[in-house]
Amino acid sequence: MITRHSLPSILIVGGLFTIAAVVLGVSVGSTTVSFATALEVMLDHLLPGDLDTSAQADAIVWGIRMPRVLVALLAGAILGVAGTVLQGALRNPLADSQLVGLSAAASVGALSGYWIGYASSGSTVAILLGAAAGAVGAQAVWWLARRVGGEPTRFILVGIGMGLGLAALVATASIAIHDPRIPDVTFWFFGGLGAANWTVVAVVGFFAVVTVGGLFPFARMLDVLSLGHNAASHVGLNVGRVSAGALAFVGLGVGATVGAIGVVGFVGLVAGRVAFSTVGPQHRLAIPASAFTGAIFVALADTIGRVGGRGFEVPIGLITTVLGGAYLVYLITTRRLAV
Amino acid sequence: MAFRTAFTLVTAAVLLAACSAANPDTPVTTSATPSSTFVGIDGVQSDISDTSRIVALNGDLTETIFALGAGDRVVGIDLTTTYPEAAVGLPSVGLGRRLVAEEVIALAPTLVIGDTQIEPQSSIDQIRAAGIPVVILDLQVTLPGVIRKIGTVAGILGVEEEGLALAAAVQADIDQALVVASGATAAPRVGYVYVRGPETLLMFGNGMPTHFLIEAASGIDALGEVGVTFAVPLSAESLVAAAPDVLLTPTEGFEIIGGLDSFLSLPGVSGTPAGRTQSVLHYDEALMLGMGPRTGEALMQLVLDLHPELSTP
Repeated sequence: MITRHSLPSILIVGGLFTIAAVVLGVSVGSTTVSFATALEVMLDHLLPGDLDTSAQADAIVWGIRMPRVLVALLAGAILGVAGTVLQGALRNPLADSQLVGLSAAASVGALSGYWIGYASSGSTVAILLGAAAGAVGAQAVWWLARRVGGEPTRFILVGIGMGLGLAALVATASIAIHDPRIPDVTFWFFGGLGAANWTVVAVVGFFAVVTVGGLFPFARMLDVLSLGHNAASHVGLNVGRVSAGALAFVGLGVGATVGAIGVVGFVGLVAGRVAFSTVGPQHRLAIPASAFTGAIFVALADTIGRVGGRGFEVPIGLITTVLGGAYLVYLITTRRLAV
Repeated sequence: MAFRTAFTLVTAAVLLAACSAANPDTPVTTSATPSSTFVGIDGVQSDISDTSRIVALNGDLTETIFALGAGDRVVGIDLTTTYPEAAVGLPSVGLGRRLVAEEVIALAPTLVIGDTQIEPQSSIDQIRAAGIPVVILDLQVTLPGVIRKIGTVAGILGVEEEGLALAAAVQADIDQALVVASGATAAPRVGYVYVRGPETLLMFGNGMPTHFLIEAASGIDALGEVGVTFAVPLSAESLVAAAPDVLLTPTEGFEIIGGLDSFLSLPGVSGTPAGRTQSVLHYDEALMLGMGPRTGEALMQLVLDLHPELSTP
């Protein structure tokens, strides 16, 4: 069956844009490495044979920028898919992992790891603790929301409340605990990719596979769920089980990104909206489409943040928020989004 | 780390085997630059085989390297470097306290030297991952620490003799200032207010270089006495409670905020004896806070400024 948007076409178009984002991302940074040199270093690693690239260029392009771009892509994919799943399951076009408090819950987990001294920037412990806290946070919001009926609106309100409270706790802790080992408050609100290395790529990559791979089988059930919880129950869907299962994967994945790159807002909202409006309401297509959209959005935002050069970086979360906020206003003022 | 050590050992063994196989009768030759290992305060052991291209991440370390006569090996400095003039024109890698690995790697150094103020750790890790040794020294804030720092840096660079000579000269400067200070008949209460801009206001107390300099200059660290430890945000209340007779501040920040009138209007300053008598002394930041080879000079200047009774016959 050939439709206008098929899974292969999404993979091809998304893949091409992803490659473009990688090439752009590795050519921009604090120091000047020419576009040609950056390409040479990449080809040197990806193709057999030996190109004559300098050790510094290699250390900068392959040792620092490449893992950074890859972490941005992988984390962006997770956040994008999380946005799509939340928007579908909660029937709310504005749902996002930050909105429903999952990012803040994950921050508490990762921060506590730093506090007791087992985690450091970019360490696997920070990512694992973030993932665990994200999953626990998702279950906590769901459990609290169920106590008052479990409707999507209740879930969102409980999430907003918990999120704001926990975010304030994280801000207080990172300001009050004067410890250079703990990332400062910017990281917990606007993220940062400075600590990316190949280990972080592997760990976040693992969580990307688990999250996207774990949520994809939910696609059909999410399609039914987005008709409304009552309708879904009538056609025999176990709303509670599906919601709890999908939320566990969303919390786990979002939490891992928070442990790795901090809180980067608006990614899920933008990726979910772009995916649904481009490929239609089917989660089977929207999930991969939002993975690519989120990945490219985060990688591009990080690249834009580094354009200034000379060590000056605009925190990535500020860029995603500015772009995401503008997109949201555009959607609403052009009546492309009914709220 | 374990892998790196194992790798180094294996490589060394292979090289040794190769050398002895090639020249069974001659002893193994050593390279022109003697290779050494240095264990930093962070516990990381660095193999230093080449000190020909150095990036120094703190102004005081750059100063020390230049004073040791090894300034020609410095290929990169950080933004806190204001002395000597020959160093200021060198490529800067930005702020050592907000280190960007790329900036350092791009200069292709063979050795990077910094202290515990260097952040973030992830940037240090990235430079090390590129095969460049980064040595992290302990922060020295006391007068004996100045001499220790010179010895450590000289040892890393392999210029031990120059190190001994410089240490002796700096110690002589310090001793001279201490002798002059011992003739003081008054003990003024002194407070150090760090100003970088209108919104960056700190007060320095116990454990800071200024504490040891003020005490050595026969003054009383008034802020330290009221319990201020290290650098904390300026509190008008603490400043008034400390009742300093003289306030010290860095020249750069003093000028940025607009000079004496602006300084006197900072929170709490007008409520101190120093504020009422307009007794504000400002010194070059690197000179007074660096605890580098010019520490004796800084101390002498402070002694003479705090004790006008010593200058008048």
